[in-house]
Amino acid sequence: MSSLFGPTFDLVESSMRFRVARQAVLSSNVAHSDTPGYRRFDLSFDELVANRAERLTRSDPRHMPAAGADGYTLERGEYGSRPDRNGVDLDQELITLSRNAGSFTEQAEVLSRLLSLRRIAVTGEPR
Amino acid sequence: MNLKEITNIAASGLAAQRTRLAATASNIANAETTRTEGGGPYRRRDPVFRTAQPDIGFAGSLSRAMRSVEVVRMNLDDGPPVSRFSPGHPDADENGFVDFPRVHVVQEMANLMSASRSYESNLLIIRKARQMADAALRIGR
Repeated sequence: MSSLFGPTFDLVESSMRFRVARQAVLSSNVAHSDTPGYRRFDLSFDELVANRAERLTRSDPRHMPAAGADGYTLERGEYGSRPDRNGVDLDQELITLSRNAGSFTEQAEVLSRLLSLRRIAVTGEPR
Repeated sequence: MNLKEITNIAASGLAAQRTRLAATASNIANAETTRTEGGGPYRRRDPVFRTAQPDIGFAGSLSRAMRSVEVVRMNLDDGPPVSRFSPGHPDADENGFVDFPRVHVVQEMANLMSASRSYESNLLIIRKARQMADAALRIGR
């Protein structure tokens, strides 16, 4: 084992990044709940792409971000049946949004627990 | 992308819905207004929303899914005014008919409820974003 909890930390951290990105996408859906012709977006995490070692990375911040570089896949919803063809279902969005925020909070707690485990390992005594 | 951006998107939603509430309030208040600056009865106002363009020229592929909303224009009702027989009214024509605005209060009330619900949804997002920020700040405590 090269580092204490290293891979677990990275895993949880990348998941939290994804939660924030998805929250922004869902927030945008709600903001557009009355925009004519708006189709909802959703973000999913592509495990295969994310875990691939040779995935696209930016070596310079001035480079253009490549699609799917973070292992995220953007999905587009359908047009709605309303007269203005808006496809956002407000209730559905709010439920998804609450769940997503809940996952983020859970993962933040996981990180906290990992840190206190590490503290025990370093100091030898529980807090 | 971060939690601040989420708040910005939700804030744009709040502003747009507030404009819609203001338009509805104006329509209800002027439901019987027969004189306007441009002449003729009041015309019903209806805001049209659209997706705002991002400020920065080059943004990632995800940014098209994270856009603010803005009011692109205020639609003025072009329909014919409602003619009502009201002799003695100062704006009545020679036959005693007065042109009243084409405002249906029931429709405006439904619009009002829809707008205030959308407004609350955007508020909820801001509250959630703050909870997420709090959770992130508590890491390691």
